[in-house]
Amino acid sequence: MAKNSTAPKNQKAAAARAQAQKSVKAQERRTTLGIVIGALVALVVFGGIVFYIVQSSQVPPLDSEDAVIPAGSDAETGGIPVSSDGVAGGEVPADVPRVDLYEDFMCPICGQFEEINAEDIDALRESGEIAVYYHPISILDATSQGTDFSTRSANAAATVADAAPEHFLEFTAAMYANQPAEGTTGLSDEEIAQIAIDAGVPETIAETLDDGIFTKWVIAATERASQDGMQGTPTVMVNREILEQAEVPYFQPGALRTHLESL
Amino acid sequence: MGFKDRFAVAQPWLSLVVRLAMAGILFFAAVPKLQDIQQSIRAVRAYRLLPEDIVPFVGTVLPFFEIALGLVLLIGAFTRAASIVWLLMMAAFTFGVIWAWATGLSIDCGCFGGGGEVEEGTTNYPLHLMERVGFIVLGTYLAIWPRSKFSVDQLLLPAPVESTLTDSRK
Repeated sequence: MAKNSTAPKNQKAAAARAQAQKSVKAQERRTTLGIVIGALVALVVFGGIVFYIVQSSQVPPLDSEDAVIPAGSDAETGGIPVSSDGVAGGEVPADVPRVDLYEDFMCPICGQFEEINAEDIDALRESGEIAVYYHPISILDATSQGTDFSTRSANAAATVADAAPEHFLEFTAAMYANQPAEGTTGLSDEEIAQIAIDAGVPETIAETLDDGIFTKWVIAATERASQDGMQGTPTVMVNREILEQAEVPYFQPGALRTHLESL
Repeated sequence: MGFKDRFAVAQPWLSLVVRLAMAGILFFAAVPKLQDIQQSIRAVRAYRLLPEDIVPFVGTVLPFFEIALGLVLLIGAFTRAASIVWLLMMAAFTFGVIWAWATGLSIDCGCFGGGGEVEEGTTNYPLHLMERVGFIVLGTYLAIWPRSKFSVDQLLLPAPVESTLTDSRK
Protein backbone atom coordinates (compact mmCIF):
# COMPACT_ATOMS: atom_id res chain seq x y z
CA MET A 1 0.00 0.00 0.00
CA ALA A 2 1.38 3.38 -0.98
CA LYS A 3 2.06 5.98 1.62
CA ASN A 4 -0.51 8.60 1.05
CA SER A 5 1.51 11.35 2.73
CA THR A 6 4.06 11.59 -0.11
CA ALA A 7 2.23 11.77 -3.37
CA PRO A 8 -0.74 14.06 -3.70
CA LYS A 9 -2.08 11.58 -6.22
CA ASN A 10 -2.16 8.88 -3.53
CA GLN A 11 -3.75 11.28 -1.15
CA LYS A 12 -6.50 11.86 -3.60
CA ALA A 13 -6.91 8.13 -4.14
CA ALA A 14 -7.11 7.53 -0.40
CA ALA A 15 -9.67 10.23 0.01
CA ALA A 16 -11.67 8.75 -2.82
CA ARG A 17 -11.38 5.34 -1.19
CA ALA A 18 -12.52 6.72 2.14
CA GLN A 19 -15.37 8.39 0.35
CA ALA A 20 -16.28 5.16 -1.37
CA GLN A 21 -16.22 3.32 1.93
CA LYS A 22 -18.40 5.99 3.42
CA SER A 23 -20.97 5.66 0.70
CA VAL A 24 -20.88 1.87 0.99
CA LYS A 25 -21.53 2.27 4.69
CA ALA A 26 -24.29 4.75 3.99
CA GLN A 27 -25.78 2.28 1.57
CA GLU A 28 -25.64 -0.42 4.23
CA ARG A 29 -27.32 1.87 6.71
CA ARG A 30 -30.05 2.62 4.21
CA THR A 31 -30.59 -1.09 3.64
CA THR A 32 -30.86 -1.65 7.39
CA LEU A 33 -33.25 1.27 7.67
CA GLY A 34 -35.26 -0.16 4.80
CA ILE A 35 -35.63 -3.42 6.67
CA VAL A 36 -36.57 -1.66 9.91
CA ILE A 37 -39.11 0.65 8.28
CA GLY A 38 -40.50 -2.15 6.16
CA ALA A 39 -40.91 -4.26 9.29
CA LEU A 40 -42.54 -1.35 11.14
CA VAL A 41 -45.05 -0.69 8.36
CA ALA A 42 -45.72 -4.39 7.98
CA LEU A 43 -46.27 -4.68 11.74
CA VAL A 44 -48.79 -1.83 11.90
CA VAL A 45 -50.69 -3.02 8.83
CA PHE A 46 -50.51 -6.60 10.10
CA GLY A 47 -51.92 -5.35 13.39
CA GLY A 48 -54.83 -3.93 11.40
CA ILE A 49 -55.39 -7.26 9.67
CA VAL A 50 -55.33 -9.16 12.96
CA PHE A 51 -57.72 -6.62 14.42
CA TYR A 52 -59.99 -7.14 11.43
CA ILE A 53 -59.97 -10.92 11.81
CA VAL A 54 -60.59 -10.77 15.57
CA GLN A 55 -63.37 -8.22 15.14
CA SER A 56 -65.16 -10.08 12.38
CA SER A 57 -65.02 -13.35 14.31
CA GLN A 58 -66.37 -11.72 17.46
CA VAL A 59 -69.47 -10.35 15.83
CA PRO A 60 -71.21 -13.20 14.02
CA PRO A 61 -73.51 -12.27 11.14
CA LEU A 62 -77.21 -12.19 12.06
CA ASP A 63 -78.04 -15.40 10.26
CA SER A 64 -75.18 -17.45 11.73
CA GLU A 65 -75.85 -20.05 14.39
CA ASP A 66 -73.64 -18.25 16.91
CA ALA A 67 -75.63 -15.03 16.72
CA VAL A 68 -77.74 -14.13 19.74
CA ILE A 69 -80.75 -12.30 18.34
CA PRO A 70 -83.84 -10.89 20.05
CA ALA A 71 -86.69 -13.39 20.05
CA GLY A 72 -88.83 -13.06 16.96
CA SER A 73 -86.50 -10.67 15.14
CA ASP A 74 -85.78 -11.09 11.47
CA ALA A 75 -82.45 -12.91 11.18
CA GLU A 76 -82.04 -11.83 7.59
CA THR A 77 -82.40 -8.05 7.95
CA GLY A 78 -82.11 -7.44 11.69
CA GLY A 79 -85.58 -5.95 11.93
CA ILE A 80 -87.85 -6.34 14.96
CA PRO A 81 -91.40 -6.92 13.71
CA VAL A 82 -94.26 -5.58 15.79
CA SER A 83 -97.62 -7.30 15.54
CA SER A 84 -100.90 -5.46 15.09
CA ASP A 85 -101.58 -5.80 18.80
CA GLY A 86 -98.26 -4.16 19.58
CA VAL A 87 -96.04 -7.08 20.57
CA ALA A 88 -92.41 -7.07 19.41
CA GLY A 89 -91.39 -10.25 17.66
CA GLY A 90 -95.03 -11.17 17.12
CA GLU A 91 -96.76 -12.28 13.96
CA VAL A 92 -97.12 -9.65 11.25
CA PRO A 93 -99.53 -9.84 8.32
CA ALA A 94 -97.82 -11.28 5.27
CA ASP A 95 -99.61 -9.91 2.24
CA VAL A 96 -99.46 -6.21 3.10
CA PRO A 97 -96.72 -3.65 2.40
CA ARG A 98 -93.67 -4.18 4.60
CA VAL A 99 -92.24 -1.05 6.21
CA ASP A 100 -88.72 -1.08 7.67
CA LEU A 101 -87.67 1.82 9.88
CA TYR A 102 -83.97 2.33 10.55
CA GLU A 103 -83.39 4.68 13.45
CA ASP A 104 -80.68 5.62 15.92
CA PHE A 105 -81.86 6.82 19.34
CA MET A 106 -79.27 9.60 19.26
CA CYS A 107 -80.39 10.92 15.88
CA PRO A 108 -82.42 14.13 16.31
CA ILE A 109 -84.06 13.80 12.89
CA CYS A 110 -85.25 10.34 13.95
CA GLY A 111 -86.91 12.01 16.93
CA GLN A 112 -88.63 14.39 14.51
CA PHE A 113 -89.59 11.51 12.28
CA GLU A 114 -91.19 9.72 15.21
CA GLU A 115 -93.01 12.83 16.32
CA ILE A 116 -94.47 13.34 12.86
CA ASN A 117 -95.17 9.76 11.84
CA ALA A 118 -95.38 7.47 14.89
CA GLU A 119 -99.14 7.84 15.32
CA ASP A 120 -99.86 7.22 11.64
CA ILE A 121 -97.60 4.18 11.54
CA ASP A 122 -99.17 2.80 14.72
CA ALA A 123 -102.65 3.27 13.29
CA LEU A 124 -101.79 1.54 10.02
CA ARG A 125 -100.07 -1.29 11.88
CA GLU A 126 -102.99 -1.76 14.28
CA SER A 127 -105.47 -1.96 11.43
CA GLY A 128 -103.26 -4.55 9.74
CA GLU A 129 -102.62 -2.44 6.66
CA ILE A 130 -98.84 -2.60 6.95
CA ALA A 131 -96.21 -4.88 8.53
CA VAL A 132 -93.72 -2.82 10.52
CA TYR A 133 -90.12 -3.79 11.30
CA TYR A 134 -88.10 -1.59 13.64
CA HIS A 135 -84.34 -1.48 13.27
CA PRO A 136 -82.74 0.13 16.32
CA ILE A 137 -79.25 0.62 14.91
CA SER A 138 -76.11 2.36 16.08
CA ILE A 139 -74.32 4.75 13.77
CA LEU A 140 -73.83 7.76 16.05
CA ASP A 141 -71.66 6.42 18.86
CA ALA A 142 -69.09 9.05 17.97
CA THR A 143 -71.51 11.80 19.03
CA SER A 144 -72.00 10.79 22.67
CA GLN A 145 -68.60 11.73 24.08
CA GLY A 146 -67.46 8.14 24.36
CA THR A 147 -70.46 6.74 26.24
CA ASP A 148 -71.69 4.88 23.12
CA PHE A 149 -75.24 5.99 23.76
CA SER A 150 -76.41 4.73 20.37
CA THR A 151 -75.20 1.21 21.02
CA ARG A 152 -76.37 1.18 24.66
CA SER A 153 -79.86 2.38 23.77
CA ALA A 154 -80.20 0.06 20.76
CA ASN A 155 -79.13 -2.83 22.97
CA ALA A 156 -81.68 -1.77 25.58
CA ALA A 157 -84.41 -1.72 22.92
CA ALA A 158 -83.38 -5.19 21.73
CA THR A 159 -83.39 -6.48 25.30
CA VAL A 160 -86.88 -5.14 25.89
CA ALA A 161 -88.05 -6.63 22.57
CA ASP A 162 -86.65 -9.96 23.66
CA ALA A 163 -87.75 -10.11 27.30
CA ALA A 164 -90.69 -7.72 27.58
CA PRO A 165 -91.97 -7.58 23.99
CA GLU A 166 -95.35 -6.06 24.83
CA HIS A 167 -93.59 -2.96 26.22
CA PHE A 168 -91.23 -2.47 23.27
CA LEU A 169 -93.21 0.26 21.53
CA GLU A 170 -93.89 2.18 24.68
CA PHE A 171 -90.24 1.98 25.64
CA THR A 172 -88.92 3.19 22.28
CA ALA A 173 -91.51 5.99 22.18
CA ALA A 174 -90.39 7.09 25.67
CA MET A 175 -86.75 6.97 24.55
CA TYR A 176 -87.57 9.46 21.79
CA ALA A 177 -89.67 11.56 24.14
CA ASN A 178 -86.64 11.78 26.43
CA GLN A 179 -84.12 12.01 23.61
CA PRO A 180 -80.82 13.62 24.63
CA ALA A 181 -79.21 16.23 22.39
CA GLU A 182 -76.69 14.95 19.88
CA GLY A 183 -73.16 15.53 21.12
CA THR A 184 -73.97 15.11 24.79
CA THR A 185 -73.17 12.01 26.85
CA GLY A 186 -76.74 10.85 26.26
CA LEU A 187 -78.84 9.11 28.88
CA SER A 188 -77.11 7.11 31.59
CA ASP A 189 -77.80 3.39 32.03
CA GLU A 190 -79.86 4.24 35.13
CA GLU A 191 -81.95 6.77 33.21
CA ILE A 192 -82.60 4.23 30.46
CA ALA A 193 -83.62 1.64 33.06
CA GLN A 194 -85.97 4.16 34.67
CA ILE A 195 -87.55 4.98 31.31
CA ALA A 196 -88.08 1.25 30.79
CA ILE A 197 -89.71 0.83 34.20
CA ASP A 198 -91.98 3.81 33.53
CA ALA A 199 -92.94 2.16 30.23
CA GLY A 200 -94.06 -0.92 32.11
CA VAL A 201 -90.97 -3.10 31.73
CA PRO A 202 -90.61 -5.31 34.84
CA GLU A 203 -87.77 -4.19 37.11
CA THR A 204 -85.95 -7.50 36.86
CA ILE A 205 -85.69 -7.00 33.12
CA ALA A 206 -84.93 -3.27 33.35
CA GLU A 207 -81.91 -4.23 35.46
CA THR A 208 -80.50 -6.24 32.56
CA LEU A 209 -80.62 -3.43 30.02
CA ASP A 210 -77.02 -2.46 30.70
CA ASP A 211 -75.74 -6.03 30.45
CA GLY A 212 -75.08 -5.63 26.74
CA ILE A 213 -76.81 -8.92 25.94
CA PHE A 214 -77.52 -7.76 22.39
CA THR A 215 -74.55 -5.47 21.80
CA LYS A 216 -73.14 -7.80 19.17
CA TRP A 217 -76.54 -8.10 17.60
CA VAL A 218 -76.68 -4.29 17.37
CA ILE A 219 -73.30 -4.21 15.62
CA ALA A 220 -74.26 -7.03 13.26
CA ALA A 221 -77.71 -5.54 12.56
CA THR A 222 -76.18 -2.12 11.84
CA GLU A 223 -73.66 -3.71 9.47
CA ARG A 224 -76.49 -5.64 7.79
CA ALA A 225 -78.48 -2.41 7.45
CA SER A 226 -75.49 -0.71 5.84
CA GLN A 227 -75.13 -3.59 3.39
CA ASP A 228 -78.81 -3.26 2.59
CA GLY A 229 -78.31 0.36 1.57
CA MET A 230 -78.96 2.24 4.80
CA GLN A 231 -76.61 5.23 4.69
CA GLY A 232 -78.04 7.40 7.40
CA THR A 233 -80.93 7.60 9.84
CA PRO A 234 -83.82 7.66 9.54
CA THR A 235 -84.09 5.35 6.58
CA VAL A 236 -87.51 4.14 5.52
CA MET A 237 -87.86 1.08 3.36
CA VAL A 238 -91.12 0.00 1.80
CA ASN A 239 -91.09 -3.59 0.62
CA ARG A 240 -87.31 -3.55 1.14
CA GLU A 241 -86.75 -0.59 -1.20
CA ILE A 242 -85.47 2.69 0.22
CA LEU A 243 -88.17 5.33 0.21
CA GLU A 244 -86.58 8.56 -0.97
CA GLN A 245 -87.73 11.85 0.47
CA ALA A 246 -87.80 13.25 -3.05
CA GLU A 247 -90.48 10.67 -3.76
CA VAL A 248 -92.42 10.91 -0.51
CA PRO A 249 -91.58 13.93 1.68
CA TYR A 250 -92.17 12.05 4.92
CA PHE A 251 -91.26 14.96 7.15
CA GLN A 252 -94.51 16.57 6.08
CA PRO A 253 -97.28 15.36 8.40
CA GLY A 254 -99.49 12.82 6.69
CA ALA A 255 -97.31 12.35 3.60
CA LEU A 256 -96.06 8.92 4.65
CA ARG A 257 -99.51 7.76 5.69
CA THR A 258 -101.04 8.87 2.40
CA HIS A 259 -98.32 7.08 0.49
CA LEU A 260 -98.68 3.84 2.48
CA GLU A 261 -102.45 3.88 2.19
CA SER A 262 -102.17 4.24 -1.57
CA LEU A 263 -100.13 1.04 -1.89
CA MET B 1 -28.22 35.76 -2.85
CA GLY B 2 -30.47 34.94 -5.76
CA PHE B 3 -33.74 33.14 -5.47
CA LYS B 4 -32.06 29.83 -6.23
CA ASP B 5 -29.61 30.12 -3.35
CA ARG B 6 -32.26 31.29 -0.98
CA PHE B 7 -34.49 28.40 -1.99
CA ALA B 8 -31.60 26.00 -1.46
CA VAL B 9 -31.36 27.22 2.13
CA ALA B 10 -35.08 27.29 2.79
CA GLN B 11 -36.01 24.07 0.98
CA PRO B 12 -35.02 21.54 3.69
CA TRP B 13 -36.97 23.58 6.24
CA LEU B 14 -39.97 23.93 3.97
CA SER B 15 -39.78 20.20 3.27
CA LEU B 16 -39.74 19.59 7.01
CA VAL B 17 -42.93 21.58 7.45
CA VAL B 18 -44.61 19.81 4.53
CA ARG B 19 -43.48 16.41 5.77
CA LEU B 20 -44.81 17.01 9.29
CA ALA B 21 -48.02 18.47 7.92
CA MET B 22 -48.59 15.33 5.86
CA ALA B 23 -47.88 13.10 8.85
CA GLY B 24 -50.29 15.19 10.93
CA ILE B 25 -53.01 14.97 8.28
CA LEU B 26 -52.67 11.18 8.23
CA PHE B 27 -52.92 10.88 12.01
CA PHE B 28 -55.81 13.31 12.03
CA ALA B 29 -57.55 11.18 9.40
CA ALA B 30 -56.84 7.86 11.08
CA VAL B 31 -57.76 8.50 14.71
CA PRO B 32 -61.53 9.02 14.30
CA LYS B 33 -61.64 5.99 12.02
CA LEU B 34 -59.90 3.87 14.63
CA GLN B 35 -62.37 5.06 17.25
CA ASP B 36 -65.28 3.91 15.12
CA ILE B 37 -64.16 1.18 12.76
CA GLN B 38 -67.75 0.26 11.87
CA GLN B 39 -68.28 3.82 10.67
CA SER B 40 -65.09 3.63 8.65
CA ILE B 41 -66.42 0.50 6.95
CA ARG B 42 -69.75 2.19 6.22
CA ALA B 43 -67.98 5.23 4.79
CA VAL B 44 -66.03 3.02 2.40
CA ARG B 45 -69.22 1.20 1.44
CA ALA B 46 -71.05 4.48 0.79
CA TYR B 47 -68.86 5.16 -2.25
CA ARG B 48 -70.26 1.98 -3.83
CA LEU B 49 -66.99 1.49 -5.63
CA LEU B 50 -65.57 -1.65 -4.06
CA PRO B 51 -67.10 -5.13 -4.01
CA GLU B 52 -68.86 -5.93 -0.73
CA ASP B 53 -66.49 -8.80 0.01
CA ILE B 54 -63.53 -6.48 0.57
CA VAL B 55 -65.32 -3.40 1.94
CA PRO B 56 -65.04 -4.39 5.65
CA PHE B 57 -61.39 -5.29 5.17
CA VAL B 58 -60.50 -2.03 3.45
CA GLY B 59 -62.46 0.02 5.98
CA THR B 60 -60.67 -1.66 8.88
CA VAL B 61 -57.12 -1.72 7.55
CA LEU B 62 -57.14 1.73 5.92
CA PRO B 63 -56.65 3.69 9.18
CA PHE B 64 -53.84 1.35 10.24
CA PHE B 65 -52.17 1.96 6.91
CA GLU B 66 -52.60 5.70 7.37
CA ILE B 67 -50.94 5.47 10.78
CA ALA B 68 -48.03 3.48 9.31
CA LEU B 69 -47.47 5.97 6.48
CA GLY B 70 -47.81 8.83 8.97
CA LEU B 71 -45.08 7.32 11.14
CA VAL B 72 -42.74 6.93 8.18
CA LEU B 73 -43.29 10.56 7.21
CA LEU B 74 -42.94 11.72 10.81
CA ILE B 75 -39.44 10.29 11.14
CA GLY B 76 -38.58 11.22 7.58
CA ALA B 77 -37.43 7.86 6.25
CA PHE B 78 -37.61 7.13 2.54
CA THR B 79 -39.34 10.42 2.18
CA ARG B 80 -39.60 10.32 -1.59
CA ALA B 81 -41.06 6.80 -1.65
CA ALA B 82 -43.47 7.73 1.14
CA SER B 83 -44.56 10.82 -0.82
CA ILE B 84 -45.27 8.67 -3.85
CA VAL B 85 -47.38 6.28 -1.75
CA TRP B 86 -49.21 9.33 -0.38
CA LEU B 87 -49.83 10.57 -3.93
CA LEU B 88 -51.20 7.18 -4.99
CA MET B 89 -53.55 7.20 -1.99
CA MET B 90 -54.70 10.73 -2.72
CA ALA B 91 -55.24 9.85 -6.37
CA ALA B 92 -57.53 7.01 -5.27
CA PHE B 93 -59.40 9.23 -2.80
CA THR B 94 -59.76 12.01 -5.34
CA PHE B 95 -61.12 9.54 -7.84
CA GLY B 96 -63.61 8.40 -5.19
CA VAL B 97 -64.84 11.94 -4.51
CA ILE B 98 -65.15 12.75 -8.21
CA TRP B 99 -66.94 9.46 -8.79
CA ALA B 100 -69.38 10.08 -5.94
CA TRP B 101 -70.02 13.57 -7.24
CA ALA B 102 -70.45 12.44 -10.84
CA THR B 103 -72.89 9.68 -9.92
CA GLY B 104 -74.84 12.03 -7.69
CA LEU B 105 -74.33 10.19 -4.41
CA SER B 106 -75.21 12.27 -1.37
CA ILE B 107 -72.32 11.24 0.80
CA ASP B 108 -69.78 12.83 3.05
CA CYS B 109 -66.28 11.89 2.01
CA GLY B 110 -65.49 10.23 5.34
CA CYS B 111 -61.93 11.41 4.91
CA PHE B 112 -61.52 12.38 8.54
CA GLY B 113 -63.92 9.92 10.05
CA GLY B 114 -67.64 10.37 9.73
CA GLY B 115 -68.84 9.75 6.24
CA GLY B 116 -71.77 7.98 4.81
CA GLU B 117 -74.86 9.55 3.43
CA VAL B 118 -75.79 13.08 4.36
CA GLU B 119 -78.79 15.28 3.74
CA GLU B 120 -79.12 16.22 0.14
CA GLY B 121 -77.57 19.62 -0.42
CA THR B 122 -75.09 19.35 2.43
CA THR B 123 -72.53 17.43 0.41
CA ASN B 124 -69.57 19.62 -0.23
CA TYR B 125 -67.79 18.12 -3.16
CA PRO B 126 -65.99 21.28 -4.38
CA LEU B 127 -64.49 21.82 -0.91
CA HIS B 128 -63.42 18.19 -0.67
CA LEU B 129 -61.82 18.39 -4.09
CA MET B 130 -59.96 21.58 -3.16
CA GLU B 131 -58.73 19.79 -0.06
CA ARG B 132 -57.60 16.87 -2.18
CA VAL B 133 -55.80 19.20 -4.60
CA GLY B 134 -54.01 20.79 -1.63
CA PHE B 135 -52.92 17.37 -0.39
CA ILE B 136 -51.69 16.44 -3.84
CA VAL B 137 -49.67 19.68 -4.02
CA LEU B 138 -48.04 18.84 -0.67
CA GLY B 139 -47.19 15.32 -1.81
CA THR B 140 -45.83 16.49 -5.13
CA TYR B 141 -43.61 19.07 -3.45
CA LEU B 142 -42.18 16.50 -1.08
CA ALA B 143 -41.68 13.96 -3.86
CA ILE B 144 -39.62 16.51 -5.79
CA TRP B 145 -37.73 17.89 -2.76
CA PRO B 146 -37.71 15.05 -0.23
CA ARG B 147 -34.65 16.30 1.67
CA SER B 148 -35.68 17.85 4.94
CA LYS B 149 -34.29 18.86 8.30
CA PHE B 150 -34.47 16.45 11.22
CA SER B 151 -35.10 13.44 9.06
CA VAL B 152 -33.76 9.93 9.25
CA ASP B 153 -32.90 10.29 5.58
CA GLN B 154 -30.57 13.19 6.33
CA LEU B 155 -29.04 11.33 9.25
CA LEU B 156 -28.06 8.47 7.00
CA LEU B 157 -26.62 10.47 4.15
CA PRO B 158 -22.84 10.34 3.74
CA ALA B 159 -21.48 13.03 6.04
CA PRO B 160 -20.95 16.32 4.22
CA VAL B 161 -17.11 16.36 4.84
CA GLU B 162 -16.62 15.37 1.24
CA SER B 163 -16.94 19.00 0.24
CA THR B 164 -13.71 19.02 -1.78
CA LEU B 165 -14.74 16.01 -3.77
CA THR B 166 -17.49 15.58 -6.25
CA ASP B 167 -20.82 15.14 -4.61
CA SER B 168 -21.70 11.49 -4.78
CA ARG B 169 -25.31 12.20 -3.93
CA LYS B 170 -26.00 13.99 -7.22
